[in-house]
Amino acid sequence: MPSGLLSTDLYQLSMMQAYLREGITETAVFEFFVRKLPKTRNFLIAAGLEQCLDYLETLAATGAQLDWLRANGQFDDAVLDYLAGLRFTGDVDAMPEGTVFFPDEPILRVTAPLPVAQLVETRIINILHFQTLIASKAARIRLAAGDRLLVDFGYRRAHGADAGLLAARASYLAGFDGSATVEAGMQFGIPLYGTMAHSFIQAHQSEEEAFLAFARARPRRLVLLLDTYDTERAAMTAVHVARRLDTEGITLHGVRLDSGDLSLHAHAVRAILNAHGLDAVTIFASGGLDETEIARLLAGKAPIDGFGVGTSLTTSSDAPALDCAYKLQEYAGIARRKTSEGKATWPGRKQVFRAHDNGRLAGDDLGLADEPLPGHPLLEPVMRTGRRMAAAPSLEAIRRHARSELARLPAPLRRLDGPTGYPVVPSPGLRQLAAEVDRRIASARSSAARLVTRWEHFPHGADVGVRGIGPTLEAALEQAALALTAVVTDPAGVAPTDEAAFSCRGDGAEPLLYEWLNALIYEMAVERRLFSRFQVIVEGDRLHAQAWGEPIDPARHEPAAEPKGATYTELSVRRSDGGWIAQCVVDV
Amino acid sequence: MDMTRLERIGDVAWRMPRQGRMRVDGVIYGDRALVAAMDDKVGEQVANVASLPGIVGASYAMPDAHWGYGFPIGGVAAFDPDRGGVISAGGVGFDISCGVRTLLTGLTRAEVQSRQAALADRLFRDVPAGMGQRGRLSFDEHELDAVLEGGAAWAVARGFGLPEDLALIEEGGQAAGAAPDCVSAKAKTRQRGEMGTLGSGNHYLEVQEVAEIFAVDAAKAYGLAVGDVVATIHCGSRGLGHQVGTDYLAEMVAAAAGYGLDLPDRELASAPIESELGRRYLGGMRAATNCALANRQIIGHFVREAFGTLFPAARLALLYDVSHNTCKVEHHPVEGRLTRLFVHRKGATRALGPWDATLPEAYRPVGQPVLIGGSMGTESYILAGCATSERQSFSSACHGAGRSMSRHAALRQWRGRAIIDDLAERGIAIRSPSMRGVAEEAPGAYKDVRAVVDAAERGGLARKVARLLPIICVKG
Repeated sequence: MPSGLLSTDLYQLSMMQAYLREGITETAVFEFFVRKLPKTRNFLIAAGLEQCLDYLETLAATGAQLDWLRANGQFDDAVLDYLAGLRFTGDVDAMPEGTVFFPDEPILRVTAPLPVAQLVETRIINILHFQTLIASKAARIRLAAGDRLLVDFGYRRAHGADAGLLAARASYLAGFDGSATVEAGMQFGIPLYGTMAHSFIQAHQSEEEAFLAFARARPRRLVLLLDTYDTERAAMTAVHVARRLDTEGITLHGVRLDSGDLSLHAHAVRAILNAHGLDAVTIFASGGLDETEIARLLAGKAPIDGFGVGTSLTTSSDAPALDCAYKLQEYAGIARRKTSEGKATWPGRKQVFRAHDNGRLAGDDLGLADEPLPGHPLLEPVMRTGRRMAAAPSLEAIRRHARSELARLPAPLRRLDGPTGYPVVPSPGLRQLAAEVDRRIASARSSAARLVTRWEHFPHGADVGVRGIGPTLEAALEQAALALTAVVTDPAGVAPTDEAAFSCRGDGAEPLLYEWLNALIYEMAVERRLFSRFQVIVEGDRLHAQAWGEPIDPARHEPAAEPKGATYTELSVRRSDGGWIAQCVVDV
Repeated sequence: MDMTRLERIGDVAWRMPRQGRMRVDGVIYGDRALVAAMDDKVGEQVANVASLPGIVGASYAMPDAHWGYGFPIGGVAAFDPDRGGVISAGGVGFDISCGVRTLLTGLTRAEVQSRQAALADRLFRDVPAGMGQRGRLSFDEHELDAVLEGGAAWAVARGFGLPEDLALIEEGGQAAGAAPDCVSAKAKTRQRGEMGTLGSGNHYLEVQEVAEIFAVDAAKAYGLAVGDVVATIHCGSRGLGHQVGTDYLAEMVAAAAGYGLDLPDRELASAPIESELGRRYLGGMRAATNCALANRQIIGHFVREAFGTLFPAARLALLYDVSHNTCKVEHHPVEGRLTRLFVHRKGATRALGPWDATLPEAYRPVGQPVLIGGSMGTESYILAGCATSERQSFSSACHGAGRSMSRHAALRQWRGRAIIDDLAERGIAIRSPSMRGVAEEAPGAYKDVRAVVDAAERGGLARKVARLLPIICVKG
């Protein structure tokens, strides 16, 4: 399956470039969790961890990928060098696959340098989301089917080859007995099941001939498909064939129904088989089934021994996506949280502590990883410094774990209809940390609002607004001058070599800004000069300034637009949060 | 724009009823989509202009109107000196007498196509474009005063262009009443080395093909046929005009209270026409107008020379030269009486209807050519003033496409090189000193000029004569 460095979003690489530029590369903690359950889910089954660990353990750039990124031209050398040496050297803690979990509970935690922890987000969500989605659907089907045989028939309708294969794995670990997908047998050792297609029957002169031919070619665990023409007649034919095969030492194992009223047909076929002493022959049903239909059939006592489930399983058709996320919880040792409306997260490294009552799930505490809480902690260390801590558990072991998890579900959670609540309670420690983070964010917000010396442009119909912001009036006027230069060219490309002096007068701070910018525009026009450094002194209604710059070099500066004049439009010089803002629109 | 304040009074005309401080109604031209897309500031500015003393008729906004300085760009307002009317530096704008000149080349697309790259290079070399470029001419102060008095007529006398050009320029190429001594020394200094330069921003020099004719009579009168190639210059009064605008704006802001003007926006700074400051501004503004007319005359000469080197037989005849940042004295009927008015057109073109006595004889039966610049790489239009123009808008029409996106937003969306490559693929050669400038002027950052001229025609402001497609664009 395609998985590697570029199995990521552009924005991860964009952020990486910015992180590297700013040196923001300390340890980050991200957690994957589901925000809320789909309407038709009471619980979820964690799945996909093994593929995540495979991905992380083998993450490295190929030469071809680096060449392509370089040729693409969007990324600087810092990113390319970083990617060339990139390995995942972080830690992973996770719930074992097959574990039942609920909203807000992390099932995987990544602890790694921020650029890497961020880079892997896309693929980790991609893996965990899909398998968790399918395993959770499969678990419901298992609950509906009791201990009857369940086989995944879904590959052909899966959304792609990777999905078809991983759906076989996810459904198997959540309690299916096997899959029709041969690749799943090879990749994961999943037991394979299958009968024949209608086309096989159609290709023969008669059903009887087809049954005999198939039985002789594939005598083991022989299952005959009955509904190509007339199901009940086919059942009679199967009885004859079974007798004949018996003499050849071949035993009819089962029959399969794939259309019509499965309950009616199952009853009729069962009666025919039993009437002819074939009580041991099983009936297997398929065709548009899901957990609701299976529950309905079984409630009607349909004598069906096994089910093949396809489309509804591999596409989780009633709930085709989970509202899940992989969010930053801690950076550089400090807890982080997101407070967006409806998408707020609990901060910090978290652990899920589960209580049991009489062998049944009784409630979870969502606490901090190092918080001493009663209950069984569900997240376990699985990877340290980029290496698995133990060999991958077998899929059989995972499946056993999932089975025991399902057995622990209390009765309300086993229901297929209607949402049922399950208590997940944030711990006192977690609530306290969240409050601390909120206070920190609020104070950072207010200090960010306190002025940082800077300039910016603001839009105006045909022209452009210049704005200078600084702790003093002078600083704001200097920044506004920089913004003016930036209308023409990037100030960073203007060498502050020559000096010019300015003096102007204005009846108040606003006329002073107008005069100051126009003095600069005049100097720029007459001396054909650009400035990139300014020192302003304001004394009463007078402004004295020095500016440093160089002559315009059209080839190098590529002047974009020529300022004609500062205007009174949006002209404003005012105090703000302990500093000054000076702005106006410049006609270009 | 909030349409709830507007009342539909025609196919593409909307009335903003007088309220509050407004002395007259506002009238905005444009189809519903154009008007709805206008910034709310346009409505605010139309209303503010309507509140100025001595305004008559209505405060108009053309279909390409956008947020300007005090006046909307695309704003038209006429003031009666006898009713305390004012003149406003913001109502003319910083680029005094910025305008468009179109020359007929007598060449066909096929002829130009074969020398496209060479012609583009030649024009880019001969017509200095962009900031920091020096013109090829320099003047002493005395000569500059002659420019400011003589306009295009001065240029012709100095050998730039032909005497017959003058009749094909508004006001005969020379604004009367220009007063060079009302232009500051700073403004004159700022013009040093700027004569004969295009400037930057939305200014350009284009070689265009006539792609479509809408009005056969007017096209014939203007000398246009499908497949003909024309050259169009869009530029203004350069540093001198900008400085005149800057100087007088500050002065009018400071003086407004003294004149008893209670302005809703400082940028509307004005002075009574019959005041010392008003008269001085008028003299300085007209001098700047002559600077612009001379500048376009000189550039027109350079264009002729450039064509001459590649097409020795070509004789480029001037089609027309119009300005769209102006304040002109005109006589229009007000309440049934022909009245002397000061008509401000900020980003709007005069559009005289047929039989106006000031039109060149050849154009009288069809009306004045109205030259509409599109954005770089997109189509331009030639319209003709029509009989209804005067009644609709004191004989005014739109001037261009108008931006739909800020420079800032355009920079985020486009790269200059990609735009040039894209236009090259469509057969349009771009020459510009600045990739960032090209990105800021991306065709997509402008409104659809077609919708604008359609609205002008439907509104009876001017009728469509010809559609032009660019072949070469030299961008400042």
